[in-house]
Amino acid sequence: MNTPMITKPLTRAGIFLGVGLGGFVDGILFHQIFQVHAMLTARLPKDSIRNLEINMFWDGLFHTFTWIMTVIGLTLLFRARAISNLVWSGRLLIGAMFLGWGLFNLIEGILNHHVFHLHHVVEAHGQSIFDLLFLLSGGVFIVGGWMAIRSAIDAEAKMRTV
Amino acid sequence: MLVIPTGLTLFAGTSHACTVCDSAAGSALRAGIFDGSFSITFLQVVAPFLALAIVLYSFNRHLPD
Repeated sequence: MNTPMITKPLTRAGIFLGVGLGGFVDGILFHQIFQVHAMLTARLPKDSIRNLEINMFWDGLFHTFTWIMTVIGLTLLFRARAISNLVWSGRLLIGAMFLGWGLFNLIEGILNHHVFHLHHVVEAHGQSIFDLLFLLSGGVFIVGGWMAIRSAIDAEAKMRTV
Repeated sequence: MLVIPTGLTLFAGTSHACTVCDSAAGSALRAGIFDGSFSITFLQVVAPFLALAIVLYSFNRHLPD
């Protein structure tokens, strides 16, 4: 009798990796390279060394949690290797990572940009179209990631019926 | 093996590598971070991750096998 193939552990690992790595994209790209915002710039504008340092502290806390999410994802991925009937699909893993990244953008965007007003994507503009584009990117990543996961599962099922 | 670094960490005075620790700037910085709103700010910064954990936990049941 054929053992049914499973995908859930890989999907779960990919989602956590996506949340963590998506958080790093935000932190590295927007906070550090482009410097369009930092964690508390809506409250403490980066107009003095003191405010820069305080923002850096809170950026560090934010990065700590993105790191924890990445480590959880890696741990889940490492544990998944022992599952003999797991479908090892690159498309599924990438799809799950985009799903996680999208969830991160959507939830972080809603809470930090719109509810708590800790910062905005381009602080110079305050609440702007860039905040909405950030949320939109979250939605697109979630839908795209989900479609990739479904497509990988369907392809696997089709392959096994042939 | 770990005695020396542990001892240095525990018994050394303020580290001289930290140029702002003893300065007025350092005090102002610490006051800015650990002010009365520290707990609220901490919760707000961490909130997306708590929300994500809840979403992922409930999402887990709906993931395809």
